[in-house]
Amino acid sequence: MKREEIIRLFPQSIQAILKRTEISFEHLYEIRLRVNAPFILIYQGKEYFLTTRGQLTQQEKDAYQVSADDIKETIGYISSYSLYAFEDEIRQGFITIQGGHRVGIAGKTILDGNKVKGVKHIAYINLRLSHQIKGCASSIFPYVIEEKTIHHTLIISPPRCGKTTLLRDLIRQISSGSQNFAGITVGVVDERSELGGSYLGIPQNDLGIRTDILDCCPKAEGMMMLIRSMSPAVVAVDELGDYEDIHAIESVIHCGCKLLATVHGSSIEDIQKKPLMQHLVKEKIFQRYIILQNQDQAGKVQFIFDSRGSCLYRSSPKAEMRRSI
Amino acid sequence: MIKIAGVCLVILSCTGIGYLMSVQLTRRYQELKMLQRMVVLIKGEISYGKSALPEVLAQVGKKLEEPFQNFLLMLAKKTGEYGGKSFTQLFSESVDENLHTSFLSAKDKGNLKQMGQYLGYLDIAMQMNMLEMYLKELEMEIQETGNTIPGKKKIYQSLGIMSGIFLAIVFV
Repeated sequence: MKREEIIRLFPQSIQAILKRTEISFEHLYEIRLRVNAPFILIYQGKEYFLTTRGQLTQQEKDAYQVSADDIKETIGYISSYSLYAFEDEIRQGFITIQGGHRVGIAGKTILDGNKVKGVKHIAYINLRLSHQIKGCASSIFPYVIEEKTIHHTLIISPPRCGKTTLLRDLIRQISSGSQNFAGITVGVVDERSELGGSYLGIPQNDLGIRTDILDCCPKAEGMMMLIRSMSPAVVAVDELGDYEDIHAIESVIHCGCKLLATVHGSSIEDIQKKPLMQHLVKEKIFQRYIILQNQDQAGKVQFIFDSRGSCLYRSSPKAEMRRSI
Repeated sequence: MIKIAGVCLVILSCTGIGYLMSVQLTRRYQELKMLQRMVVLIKGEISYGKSALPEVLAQVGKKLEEPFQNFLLMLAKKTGEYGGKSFTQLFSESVDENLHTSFLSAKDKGNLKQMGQYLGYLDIAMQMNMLEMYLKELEMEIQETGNTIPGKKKIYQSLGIMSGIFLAIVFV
């Protein structure tokens, strides 16, 4: 991750502070700006305030206070002075920027009937930094691929636990291959540009040498487009959720493609409570469930289950297991 | 002999000035047309690609000729630098810096700067309406300029020759 790439997104006053700070951006997960509130960083999994000298502190009184102008200027830079280009994203509450970083925004919503049309008077910004950690999927690779066959895999994790990072590396390893596995073609539907972090169509993250990316495309439509046009052996998508996604998954599987996906949750039980996902679990469509935890480090695998719910891996014997497939 | 040479020079220079002024009119007309093309291309990039302004400006800049090519490419570069200025400021500065050699009138440049104030503001519909409005104004200006050019050109050229002859008579 380029330090400058992140720093330049902020107004001059905050840029000066971030340039002074000596923290490693590799361990920086979030930068939070709230109007008339202290400047907050989530660094190495902990929350800190940042002083005007660029030092981390736990004392609120020493923190730099974010002004309304800081937020306004940041929004201008983040959107490249083009809020109109992010209409759809703003409606969902976030913008994905160059490098695959996600900028969450909140403010006053503009409604069209009962639907959110946009957000104005943006007063809260949460920049979640995307990290590519090459090799982070190596430990789960033997569970996802058995005898050169890839299993349909679902990564389940609460927010900020590294599911996108894990999926990104899994895609890279499957696409480029490893010592015991020759790479195969992977099609990625990158609806929010988080996996590839594409800028002007060129991925900023390494997703492997045999990967085709459909950037900014709705998942359901994108999966079908990829199958028709690029004949992938594996299709990968991040954050399943809509009815259309679930419907498209069935088509992908019936086409003979393997599927890698992620979903928000903390256990298989959680997933089963979601009406749309329930069907996929009951039909045993996914052959591997990888459950992440965020107790000490992001991206740590807690459990791996197979389609019948048998535990193939657990991080520690004490780990509490919740499954009922 | 010297007198004859002087008279010829006065007549020739005045004729040249008249001719240059008529050429300026034609060049302004051509640049207004190019400006119109620029706005149409910007409109297309925004409506079709929903691209952000730096990308739009760079793409359209590559398709145009000078002085608009340099104007758009420099503006695209500046918008990527995030130097603490608003887009309106950057646009206005770029008009002054990169179009100072153009044949556009001060009024044309003023209208262009006004258009720049609203670029990037609000949603796509707003962009389209604002660009459409500017295109209409531009179309009217082009028509008016086109209609008056032949007459004005003749006047400038004739005035050039006549004033040359007049000065020559006065000096002699």
